[in-house]
Amino acid sequence: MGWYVPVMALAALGLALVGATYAIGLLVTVQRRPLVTPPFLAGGLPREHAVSRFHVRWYVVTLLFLAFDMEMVFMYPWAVVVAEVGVEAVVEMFTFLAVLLAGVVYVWREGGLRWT
Amino acid sequence: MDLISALRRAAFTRPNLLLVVAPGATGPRLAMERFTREHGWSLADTAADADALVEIGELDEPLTAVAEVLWRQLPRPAVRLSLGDEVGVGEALARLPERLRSWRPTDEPSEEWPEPPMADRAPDRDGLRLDVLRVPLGPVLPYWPAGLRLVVDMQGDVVQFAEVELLGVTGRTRPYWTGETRSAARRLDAAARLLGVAGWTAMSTRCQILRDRLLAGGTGTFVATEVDRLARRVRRSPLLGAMLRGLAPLPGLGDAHERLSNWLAEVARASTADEAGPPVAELLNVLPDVVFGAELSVVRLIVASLDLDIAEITEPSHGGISHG
Repeated sequence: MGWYVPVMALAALGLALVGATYAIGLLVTVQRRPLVTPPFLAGGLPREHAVSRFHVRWYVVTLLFLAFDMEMVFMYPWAVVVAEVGVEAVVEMFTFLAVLLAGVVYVWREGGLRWT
Repeated sequence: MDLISALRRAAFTRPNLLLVVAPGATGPRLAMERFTREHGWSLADTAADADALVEIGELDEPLTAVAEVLWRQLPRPAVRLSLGDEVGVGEALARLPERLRSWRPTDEPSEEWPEPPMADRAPDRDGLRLDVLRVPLGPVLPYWPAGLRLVVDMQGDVVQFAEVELLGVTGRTRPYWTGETRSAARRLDAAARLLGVAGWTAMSTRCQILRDRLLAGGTGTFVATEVDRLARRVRRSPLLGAMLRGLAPLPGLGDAHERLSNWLAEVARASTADEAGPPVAELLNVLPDVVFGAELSVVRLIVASLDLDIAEITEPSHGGISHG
């Protein structure tokens, strides 16, 4: 049971802080009703909803980012054991990187990174 | 309630102002800018940032509608002021902090805003179909010409179409920048705007200070040497050069960087009277073509680099008197 005391204390502290924020807000506010307003458009009103579709280019960049993000995930445990396993691990990792890099070169060749 | 009044006193010592300026009301605008600079106040970039909405000059119907929209967007406590000429500016502004502190909530009805529809698509320059957003730029934007509204069609952050709307020009609108001293001050004002949009705020403020000094009858030689120093720093900045070189080149005027250098050089040489630029109507005609294909932030730079004074648009209609 004693194990949970720090957890409870932390939770209580968190709740107290959040509660204090709300309390200060209530105390010093000049108007309870929040201001509901469209975005600032230099004195005009928006004609279309802000939710809109992105250009397809962003998806290519997203996929590239995901590939390298996953690579980093693999690299963390690899970095821990690379010294023990030795040359074999280094070769494997760089082969993996080369495969990913082939993807980048392909995207590049197809013009996926061309912006204008 | 001492806490609240103490907080209010602290919060409203230096209020942020949002300006709605009528074209030609440059005199009161400059007085306003001088006051805020000298008192360490600042001008708000957006409605959410502002404590007071200041209407400068005589607003016509469309500009009043703009002020009305902004007033409903200002978070309370907020104060709305109207300034006709430079005389009352200091007095009206000096009372502002007190008015904000004594503000009490009113029973204003809850705001109802129309819900806009989803954006529609159109072919874009890559041969794809992409959302088109119709976005007004101006009339209330930092460093933006008074009375100009540039309505642009955006696809992503690229301008695909633009049209110019003029607001606030009435029969009584008169251009402010007339005569030799004011022409020189105008160049500094334009430089201050362009540098402000470019993000070089310190230099922009420096230009404003020199502008005000010139208008207050400051001696030409001191201002000229100061402007000369300033011009050299501006010319040497590689970052500013990268931003402005090759931007919106116009026949006879050069690109944005050359225009900025020329403004400052003119003031340094103290010879602006004989170098009037093309009429504003002509610039407004080419503006939609110049901003076509530009990115949103670049549009702001282009507009600032053209030094548009909408108040001048009234001149041709005055019985065809032209500068010859």
